[in-house]
Amino acid sequence: MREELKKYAWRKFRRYPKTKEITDLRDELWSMMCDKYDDLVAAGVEEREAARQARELMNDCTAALREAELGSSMGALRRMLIGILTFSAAFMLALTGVYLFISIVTLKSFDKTWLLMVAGSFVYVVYVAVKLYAYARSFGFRALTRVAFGGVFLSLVPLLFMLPSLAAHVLYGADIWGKSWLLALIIAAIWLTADMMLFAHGTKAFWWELAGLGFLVTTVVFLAFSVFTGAWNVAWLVYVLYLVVVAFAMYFAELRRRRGE
Amino acid sequence: MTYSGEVLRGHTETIILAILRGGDSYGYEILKRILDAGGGMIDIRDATIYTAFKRMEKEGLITTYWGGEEAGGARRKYYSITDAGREYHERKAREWRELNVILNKLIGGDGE
Repeated sequence: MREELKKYAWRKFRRYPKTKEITDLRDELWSMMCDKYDDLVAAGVEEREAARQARELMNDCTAALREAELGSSMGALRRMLIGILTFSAAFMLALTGVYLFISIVTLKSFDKTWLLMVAGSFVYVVYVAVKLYAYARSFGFRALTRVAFGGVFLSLVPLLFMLPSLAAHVLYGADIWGKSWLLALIIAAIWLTADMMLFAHGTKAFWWELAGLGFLVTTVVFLAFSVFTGAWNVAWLVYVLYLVVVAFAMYFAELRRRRGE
Repeated sequence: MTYSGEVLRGHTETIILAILRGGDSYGYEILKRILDAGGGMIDIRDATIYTAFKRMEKEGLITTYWGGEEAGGARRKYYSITDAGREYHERKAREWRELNVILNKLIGGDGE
């Protein structure tokens, strides 16, 4: 059973960099699980149930991992950054190889193939943003997690908005910049919604953030409607609609508060 | 009735140091001694204990060393109190006694 507990501990820690502080914590938790298991079995608890209760020791070790990380002068962060740098070198070499191969061997032209390098760089930016977010989340650094979450969405803007517009222009001569910028606004709206649901829910700022999000969504609707129909003179009515919704929400919130008193 | 570990908030380090003043000990033994002393009325989260260990080690209140291998290869990590830890414990214990006298006067429960 000790071996099973060991496998469990190793599995729980597999996504963390193997710094001395983190492996020490893993080993210590494994030993604590073994002690708890032995103690429960000696008290007459059935083996499987004892193992289940012993595993509970590792249910919430994020705070301890954070302390271990802070105590090691951010050793895991440094390792992750070195990992990113190593990956960067390999990725850029591979990307350059593909670029040269397609330009020289396949298409025999460098005319438009630079788009490959641009696309690869944009994908790389997303990779770095996701890695930073994963790091912050795995160690429970709340503020950094929230910032990095925003960074992931920001990194999607070049990939989902700039690249297709650039590709359409370079490959087909189509100018979609006049409309594609709406994608950036849509990404921002999705980010703010997700951010609010994950990080702001239950906080004092929640209603203010909800109102801000509502304003952004209204602006996206206003711009989308205006750009695609050309009816700018009518589209402003969505702002009136937004204000009406806010007024009703405030009215009902006040009504609810008074009933509660 | 059980009390969550929240009632120990701010005192976890002092409690661990009090245990370590009696001699070196390891994680599970310390956790068990706290739970046993609570007579089943304290439901402290395991994470609270080992987060406190990490914090105290960083602050120099305790030091650690690994014990020999137990059956199956797991090694226990032992904790020892440092001189700084003893001073910290004495100060906190004195504060606790003083505060206890004041709170007994204020809350008391004997109707005075």
